[in-house]
Amino acid sequence: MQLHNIDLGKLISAAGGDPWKVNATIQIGSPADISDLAQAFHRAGQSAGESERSFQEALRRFQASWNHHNGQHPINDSAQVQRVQQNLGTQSAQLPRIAADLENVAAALAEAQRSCATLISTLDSNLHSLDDQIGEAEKHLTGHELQDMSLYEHIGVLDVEAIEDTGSTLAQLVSIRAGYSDYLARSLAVLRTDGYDPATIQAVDAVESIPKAQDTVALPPPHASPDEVHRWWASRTPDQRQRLIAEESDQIGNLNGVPVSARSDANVLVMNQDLDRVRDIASHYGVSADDVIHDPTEYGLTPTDITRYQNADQTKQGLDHDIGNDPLHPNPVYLFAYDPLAFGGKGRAAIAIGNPDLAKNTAVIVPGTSSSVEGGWLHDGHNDALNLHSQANAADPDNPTAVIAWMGYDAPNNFEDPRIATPALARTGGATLAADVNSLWATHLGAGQHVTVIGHSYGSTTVADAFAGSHMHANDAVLIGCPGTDLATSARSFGVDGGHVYVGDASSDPVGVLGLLHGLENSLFGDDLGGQLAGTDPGLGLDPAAHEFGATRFRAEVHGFPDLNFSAHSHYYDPGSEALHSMADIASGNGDALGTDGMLAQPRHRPEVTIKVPGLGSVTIEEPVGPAFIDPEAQRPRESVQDNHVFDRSHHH
Amino acid sequence: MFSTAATITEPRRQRPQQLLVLLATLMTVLLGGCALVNHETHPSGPSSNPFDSAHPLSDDQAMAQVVDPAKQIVAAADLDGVSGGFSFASCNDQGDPPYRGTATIHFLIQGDPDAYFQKIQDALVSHGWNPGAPPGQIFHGTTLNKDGVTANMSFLPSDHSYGEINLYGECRNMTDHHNDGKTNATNITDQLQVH
Repeated sequence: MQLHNIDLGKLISAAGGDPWKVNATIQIGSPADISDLAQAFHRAGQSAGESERSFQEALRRFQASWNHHNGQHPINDSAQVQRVQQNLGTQSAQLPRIAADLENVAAALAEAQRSCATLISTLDSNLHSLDDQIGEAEKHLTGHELQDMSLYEHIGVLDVEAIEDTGSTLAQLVSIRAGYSDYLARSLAVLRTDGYDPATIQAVDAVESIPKAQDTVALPPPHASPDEVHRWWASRTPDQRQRLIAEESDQIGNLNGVPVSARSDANVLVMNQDLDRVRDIASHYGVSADDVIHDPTEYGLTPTDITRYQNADQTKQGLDHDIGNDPLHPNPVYLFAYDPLAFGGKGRAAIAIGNPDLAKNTAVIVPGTSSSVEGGWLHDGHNDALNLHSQANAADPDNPTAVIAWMGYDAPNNFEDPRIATPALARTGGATLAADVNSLWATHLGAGQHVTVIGHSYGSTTVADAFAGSHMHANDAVLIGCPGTDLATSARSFGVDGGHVYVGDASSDPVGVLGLLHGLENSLFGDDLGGQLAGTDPGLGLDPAAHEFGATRFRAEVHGFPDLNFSAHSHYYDPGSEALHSMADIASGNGDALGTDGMLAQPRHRPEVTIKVPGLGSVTIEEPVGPAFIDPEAQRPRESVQDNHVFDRSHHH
Repeated sequence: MFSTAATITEPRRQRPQQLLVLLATLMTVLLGGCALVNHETHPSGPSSNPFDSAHPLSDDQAMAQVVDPAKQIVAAADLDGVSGGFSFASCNDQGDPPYRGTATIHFLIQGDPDAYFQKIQDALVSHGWNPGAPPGQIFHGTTLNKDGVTANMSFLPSDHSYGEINLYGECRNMTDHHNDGKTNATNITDQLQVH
């Protein structure tokens, strides 16, 4: 790789690793040799039935992927085949199985090699193009600071693009290699059970991709800050990082301070293991995964294995969903957090669209009641994260926005769950949210990061508590359909870094007006100090759309619902809606554009009374106490409302 | 309502569960239509709403509603390096019906992006598309509409050498797609590349 204007060493360092080296470790293997050996076993055994089908399918895959440029030194197979045959007996049923397993390994390696070679070749060509563009720009530099400013900006954009391309290729390569390595490890175990010593194929396999059983790399101390973790990670060698990802996947995947792409690699590894554990058993016994799920102990698995499998399946569908509509140009996606057993089996996971460590802007979206990994929030057909990602990047293409769909807390199960009326889950979830969001500041590359945290429904109470109770560091806060702000008693309580607390509340959204009940809660529970501190008393706090709260309200009316209706609570991320348009402005770092876009709304206020003041005459003022229930947004002409949906079903959220 | 609530002082000594029931009851009254929030709604004008519950679209119809225009756009604007896909999307954040079809087209940007997007827009207008979002919708990016379908154009976020057009159909598909896999992508590149 020869570049004239980009420093390759610095590029590799900024991207977090060397994709060419990772590619080399996978290209070193010789799938042709493994395939030759497999075919020797195939000839020796009397192959029929499932093994034959499996072998032929694997052979087809291998032939489709093998590039014929390596593996020119066939190993002498006859001695090995004979030895195994003698040990197992001539007519052993194991021989065809060994053949099929070996051919599958050959196919998997050939596929991994081909995918990696394609990725590297695309990266090389992109980098050459960027390198040329930088060279061209540098030719126009005059040496006068003011005149050169826009050129330097242009070069900066090209630099970032090169780093992003390299980082994203690296992540994909590592993921492919981890997938192959994982597959190989399982195949070798099966081969050993079938009476075959796999030492021979290890000699011709991509040996570097097999985690070596050397001394383990120590993890940082349990309470290390994200900055400390990040320094620790940065000081590991690339080889140590790869081993940590492979050997300590559970830890690394959820360790705040580890770069997002590395977390994702570790989490995807665990997720795939959770899927394969059940699928391999099902395939071994020739049954469906559903059969194994219904009676795990019959197949030597535990109910925990099944919970892991089911939440891994939901998460994998989430990753597939968030790549978007076009499989040929998928959005880059990262599994930011993964713990399939969290919250009593409801699971915890977060998926990033775009890399938050590289994007100028990151928006974290937090859902509300009845959302969970187990319940399918990551993928089930509503496109909250995808819509925001698309519109935020359309709002400001030059300053990219990554979106994290954060299903990282235990939300109330449903509207019958009594925990919905108390803030306890919001406070606990807020602490976790703050820890995750604060880690983004430790791992982001380059200055000028802008972070927005958006909460919907009970999730907005969680966001308010993360700011007011757990020192969450973000530039902007957005509360939509907010039932109350619990610990945050005004916009000032959020302590946002340079930005604003924004509120989107449809006047017809009944959840958004629950904060009006705060006076009632206070009169009922104000004296119960213990319950107030523990968050076990009913009531979620103040209405942030009220004038005195001090937040900036944006337009979020829902077409078709002039009166209070639960359905109005479920449309803040609709394409074409005022709320999505406004949130795209905010998330892309352009909250100031809300005014020029006509998206600012008046807050709710108390009734106005006219009093006579001696010397001044009649003065109209807002009543000083009581709920602020007059909503100017409800008085807008309906035809001015920007949204396109009417529904003839009522929704339960 | 609040003036009477303010007189309730005894409940402080009740068990929280009872209080919860009380509060829940009050919330129910509120949600059930208590005119606490001032709603002086204005009569709406002629409906611009594309949803027509009397005429739902089948899965195939909802797919054709966006894939057919996607094919027309590729041909009308003579797009190059085209790929794309389709999926159903719920029209609310619960993943419930109604659903709409959504299609995405990616294409290579030729020359200056702004000029190229303008050229595409002009080509589409000459093929019967209306510039801008339909009444009642608002989008970032270049937006056009035709027969209830919105086309929204910008860069492919991960690679600015490509443009992206997202097509949004009407919310008229009443199938429940929660678990049928149709909310994840279907590759339609082959259909788009046929001129």
